[in-house]
Amino acid sequence: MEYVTRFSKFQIGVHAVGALSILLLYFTGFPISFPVALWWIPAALGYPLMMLIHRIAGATLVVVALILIIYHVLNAVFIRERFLRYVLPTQKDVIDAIYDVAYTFRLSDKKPRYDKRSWLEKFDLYTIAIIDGLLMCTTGILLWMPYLAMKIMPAPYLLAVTSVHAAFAVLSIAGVLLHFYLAHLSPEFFPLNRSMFSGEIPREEAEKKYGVWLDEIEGGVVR
Amino acid sequence: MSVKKVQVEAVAAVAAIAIVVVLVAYVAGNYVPNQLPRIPDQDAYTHQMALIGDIDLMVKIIVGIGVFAILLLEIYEHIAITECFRRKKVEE
Repeated sequence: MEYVTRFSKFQIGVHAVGALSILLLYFTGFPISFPVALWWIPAALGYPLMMLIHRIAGATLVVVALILIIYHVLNAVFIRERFLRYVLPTQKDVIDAIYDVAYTFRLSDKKPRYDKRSWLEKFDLYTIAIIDGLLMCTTGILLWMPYLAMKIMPAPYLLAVTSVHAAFAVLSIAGVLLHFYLAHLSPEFFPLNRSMFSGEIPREEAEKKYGVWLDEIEGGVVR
Repeated sequence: MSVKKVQVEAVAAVAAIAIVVVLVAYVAGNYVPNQLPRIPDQDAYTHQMALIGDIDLMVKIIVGIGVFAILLLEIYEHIAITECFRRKKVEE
């Protein structure tokens, strides 16, 4: 079977570290919000160790978020100006979404050919970037370093930060579940999408789902 | 000289780690334990607590709407998958 390279080793590594840190953050963070249901986690690890793991995983997620920001900016500036099209919303995404919904509800026989990411994958990317990369990291840093936070806000406001951190963790897990759903249960990749582990996808599957992107990389438009 | 992708990847990784190390070093250097301020003004405190209650409610509403939106997308994706398999079966 012929394969097409979709992710570099660097992207696979960053994804793996980010995913692992997010899972660890759920595992060590939710017992704080739901101590009755998840009492067994601090009981097994001990509260100080659980919080230490939470902070190390949090710092790792901040590193991953910064890597992705710097990586995308540098790529867009130095490597190819079209790079941001893979992550920013475009007019084609809106058209694709309309055709996709029409195809799903049998109003059309034409399934859209996507770019490197479909409209739904971009939405999924934004939920993770905004909730985990921005909100959770920022509020996490403020809670980790309250004496630093109190230089910019009154102390009681830290309670509001706690509330935001805990509430958006729930939204975060919903976003990650959507990510699992899109990645592994998509008809082209069901039951397991191996591309984020191997960096490659079968050419036949790329042709079906990411036709526009495949045309570009094969036509030499994008390196 | 053109910039290679591997160079961009290396710079991104090193810069991100450096930023976090600097942040942690700064915070560690400025650590002042047991300096929580006393409540100087009861009225201000009451006002702040009321505001926190409002923020808490707002956050819960936003999260509720967000979870509902994500649930709708998951239902949509489920329908799309079912439809795709149906069409595949018809083709076969």
